[in-house]
Amino acid sequence: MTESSLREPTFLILTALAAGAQHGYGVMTDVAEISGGRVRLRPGSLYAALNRLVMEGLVEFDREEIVDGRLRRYYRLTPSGGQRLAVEVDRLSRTTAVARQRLKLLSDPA
Amino acid sequence: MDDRLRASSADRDRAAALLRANRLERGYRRLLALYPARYRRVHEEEMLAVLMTAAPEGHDRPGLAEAADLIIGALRVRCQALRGGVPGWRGALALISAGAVLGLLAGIPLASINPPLQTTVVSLRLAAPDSPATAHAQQAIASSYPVLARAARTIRPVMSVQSLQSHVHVSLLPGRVMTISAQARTGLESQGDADAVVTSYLLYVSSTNARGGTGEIHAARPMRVGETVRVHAPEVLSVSSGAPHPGSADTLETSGLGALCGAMIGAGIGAIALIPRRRRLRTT
Repeated sequence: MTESSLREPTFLILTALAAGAQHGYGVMTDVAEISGGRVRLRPGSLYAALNRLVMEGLVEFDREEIVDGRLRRYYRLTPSGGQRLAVEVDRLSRTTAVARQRLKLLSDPA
Repeated sequence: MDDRLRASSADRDRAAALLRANRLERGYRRLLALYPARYRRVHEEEMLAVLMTAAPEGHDRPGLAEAADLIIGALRVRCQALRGGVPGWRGALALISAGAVLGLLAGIPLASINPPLQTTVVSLRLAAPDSPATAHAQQAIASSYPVLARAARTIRPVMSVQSLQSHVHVSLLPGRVMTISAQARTGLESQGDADAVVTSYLLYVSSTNARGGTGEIHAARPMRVGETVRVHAPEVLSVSSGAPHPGSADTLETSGLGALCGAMIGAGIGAIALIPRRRRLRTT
């Protein structure tokens, strides 16, 4: 499981939480912002993903707050979650580096 | 005065908004009920808060996309709960339970699109015929084209003889009882159809008798439950009409279709819920 690459929503959620603990709605808006509005998670998808990440030990509960009579639960990355994201970022940057290099060969064949 | 008026209209707006929010919240809670109980105990309030915050302004019930998202989310969480460190047959069980949830969901619209047909059974007790052939002759008359054609003309909304034929069934029971049963979407319709056929049959029989010159004819009006009608050769001793009821075969058919539909959709959605874990990350 840890060997395979991350799905994009998962990657974006981990990225959102890398900056610090956030509650569900915060993660939703942050994911939309990070992806330039391309990925809009709905609550059902977000919580299914969070549930899996908590089960895999990549994310954990941080704290709870009551705002306007409504419960807000904050989530944060675990150390292994941070590690997992770092591995993924390395993998992606290696891939994009190769892609960029080859594109340069294509446009500049000399 | 002006201020007071404005204030009261603002109050009304606020009350309307509260009412909408309340309805919306109930709608979300109904969808959240699809999640496993243990998950709901921990996350229901939290998810509700997010749903209410993310909900488009002015809505008083969950949108289709939101509902679909929550249904798929519930299925994924159910699969995750069962997959959490337990071997494969549990995964299959998860899909079945997911299918059951969906079967229920699919059954509701299906049942409202195609509700079980209502059946009205009218029993006619025939006077002792000399031979069983007489009873069979009556059965043949009751289901004959002329009888049904006349009945079809009296039914509103208009119905073709063929379609009436497919909804009406005449059978013989022991004790010289002939039953005429009619199926329709509503109890009232099935009652009307059955009564039309019974009336048409009685008219037919009585007019035949009249031509034979022995008739006392009293059947030129709809029969009522328990009413006794005397018609010569064969005499119809009584007409009794049961209350309309859903035919058991149709109830089974509808719920069976619902279950089948649920199993198919369940398998599809279950597959969707499982696939994303393997889909590779795409970067753009």
